[in-house]
Amino acid sequence: MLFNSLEFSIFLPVVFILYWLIGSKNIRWQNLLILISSYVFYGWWSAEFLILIALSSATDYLIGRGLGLYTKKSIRKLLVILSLSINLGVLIYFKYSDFFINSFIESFRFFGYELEPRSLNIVLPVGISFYTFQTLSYTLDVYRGVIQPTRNALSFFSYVSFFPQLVAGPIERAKSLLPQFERERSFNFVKGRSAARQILWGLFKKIVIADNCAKLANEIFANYQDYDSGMLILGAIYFTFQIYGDFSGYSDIAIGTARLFGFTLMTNFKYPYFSRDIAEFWRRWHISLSTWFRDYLYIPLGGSRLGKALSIRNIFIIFLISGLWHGANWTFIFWGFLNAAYFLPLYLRGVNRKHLKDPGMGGLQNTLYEVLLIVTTFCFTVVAWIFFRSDSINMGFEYLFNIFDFRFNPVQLQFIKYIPLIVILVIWEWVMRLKPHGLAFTRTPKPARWGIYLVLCFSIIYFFGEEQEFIYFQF
Amino acid sequence: MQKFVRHILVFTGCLASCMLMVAAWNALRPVNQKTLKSNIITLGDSHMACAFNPRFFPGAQNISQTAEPLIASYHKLKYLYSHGAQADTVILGISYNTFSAYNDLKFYKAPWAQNQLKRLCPIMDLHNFKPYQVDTNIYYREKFKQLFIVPQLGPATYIGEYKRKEFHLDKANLKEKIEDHFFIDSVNSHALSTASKLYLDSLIHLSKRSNFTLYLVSLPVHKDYLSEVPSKFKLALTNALDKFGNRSITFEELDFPDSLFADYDHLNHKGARVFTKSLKKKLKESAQKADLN
Repeated sequence: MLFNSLEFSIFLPVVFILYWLIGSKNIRWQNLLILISSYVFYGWWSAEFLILIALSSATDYLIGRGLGLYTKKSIRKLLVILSLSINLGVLIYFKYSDFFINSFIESFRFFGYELEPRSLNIVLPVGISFYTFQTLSYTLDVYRGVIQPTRNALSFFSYVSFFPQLVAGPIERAKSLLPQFERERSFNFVKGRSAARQILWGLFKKIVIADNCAKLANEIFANYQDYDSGMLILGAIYFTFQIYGDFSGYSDIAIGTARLFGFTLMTNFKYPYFSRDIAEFWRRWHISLSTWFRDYLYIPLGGSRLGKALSIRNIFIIFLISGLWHGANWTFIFWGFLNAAYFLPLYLRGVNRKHLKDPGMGGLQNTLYEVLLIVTTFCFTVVAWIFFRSDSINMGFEYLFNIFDFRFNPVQLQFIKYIPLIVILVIWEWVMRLKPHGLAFTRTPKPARWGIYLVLCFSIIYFFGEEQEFIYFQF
Repeated sequence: MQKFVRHILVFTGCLASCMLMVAAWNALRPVNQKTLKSNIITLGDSHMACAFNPRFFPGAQNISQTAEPLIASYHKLKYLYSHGAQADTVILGISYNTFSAYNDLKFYKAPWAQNQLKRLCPIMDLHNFKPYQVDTNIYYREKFKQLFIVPQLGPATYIGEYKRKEFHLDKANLKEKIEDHFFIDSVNSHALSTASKLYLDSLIHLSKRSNFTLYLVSLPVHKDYLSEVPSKFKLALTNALDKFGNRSITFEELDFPDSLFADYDHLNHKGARVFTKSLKKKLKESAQKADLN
């Protein structure tokens, strides 16, 4: 079930009404409703893959209980290894089997040996990368003593399968989300209004911005050899805003929906295209994933505490694995490598934590300088996205080299018709950059607010039905 | 909680009211006056849209649209004449692909279905699409949007216009064009579209009922394109022209050099100028012959 579908527009109000009719005092019944509705939500795509979520949940619930029972280090370590093996094993099997097989065959071909191509044709379960990391975070946090293992199976299963963030994040930590399943949730008008606004903003970014950019990005990338430099630059920009609108839009809908049920999810995007350097970009883009890798991979590997050489190694490992997490293709790994290459000079110069405050907070001169930094960082990001979007690394390089041919033909109107939408989005988000999302008004008069909501609703309904699937579902 | 639900309901009510206002505007909006008052209407698909430039034919209006099948042309005219269209002459432009069965897919297959249904849903009910298969989801969605969401401010969705094209023959892909128009795969060609023949006959009947003269014009195509068209489609075009007798117009005797083409089957703006002026001359001659008879 997609967030931007008619089914969800019926599903959500029904679940919402039932949830609050049950009452905030009946936590068990509310959790049961969440569990059932989450399984219905996920099963709408593929009922057979519900078994995987149930398996992942059961595995880590039992391992969590085991970690609570046993104090002996060797047994605890064994239990964690078991959790990692099962969860990552399932993830690797479904997501990377064909990739490894094909890479194996390609490497033999490189040395002149032909192997018979084989494909397992495995269907990738939607959201597997997200919920796997979420359950792993529970096991690892219990192992490290950050949280106590839960005895409440219902809470745990609900936490893993919680439908707003099940298939495309944010990847929640057990220490912040699981306790919310074990205590009373409250709802009030202010929270509900804020949640509804965030959902509306998310739908706007997804349906109006991302899906329209996708149409043109797909056309240009599919026929990149026929287009001149100007069109290729447009294609890259369209994809840049497609992936932002798609993913941050989904996150906004997820966070807003969770708030309707009294849950608080972490912020996943903080206006990343206003970053002044790549280090800041990675503090603002897909925050739940980058912090997950920081806490469960980078720091255990030693982080930056083991000298420059090992720090550099760790940085590359994180970015390469982050790339690989996004998909089973060398283009994603290369995208990760590029980001590591961008990040490294900042780290080596010790300026990777220079821009911690929000942009545009100084005087005019300072702001103009920051705008220059923002534009530069944006350009580097766009170059990396070209590889992310391309079918192969070769295609990415070809696309890039074709841009630097500097051939410019007159642009056809059909290819610039969505540029005004992008400009409006950028300006709007710059104005709202200190707020949690684009509709977090504080002092706007009600008629103006409602006028904006109506315009957004009309634009969403107008473009509804021409949807593209959420990009991050394939991860 | 109650306050929240109340607010949502009130907002939904406001949204519905706005949509009803848009629907009222759209329902009460008069049919395009320019089209109703034109003396001559030209219609067809992209071939006609690119070929006929009204600048060289005062009093005429080109309402052709890309990928327009004959059923659309028929219903457009039917709608216009039921609302008082005054044109005494209608010129229908066709080409070899008009009779290809790929036209039968245009209301349920991508990439055409959405655009076609968006254009036609204001003037065609679902049953009007028989015998074509229609994606009903898209139809109802587009009908809803056209009625309740999009206030019609410009020309109606079913009214096309002249499309100026530049010269791009050197970049055109002939093989791809032929395959799109006439072939299911690299070997098997599309069948002839019986629905297209049916609606051509319907257009003839409509012209008699609504008292206008219907001309059938065969649009010029590049000789390389013509040589690749399967013979059954050439025959279908010839038969259609024969049906119209002296109300059919061809341009075989005219030489359309490469410089007048946008691609292998569309004229560019220079070709449109030559075509429009020639068509005007041929219509005049045809009218004079009819007067003499």
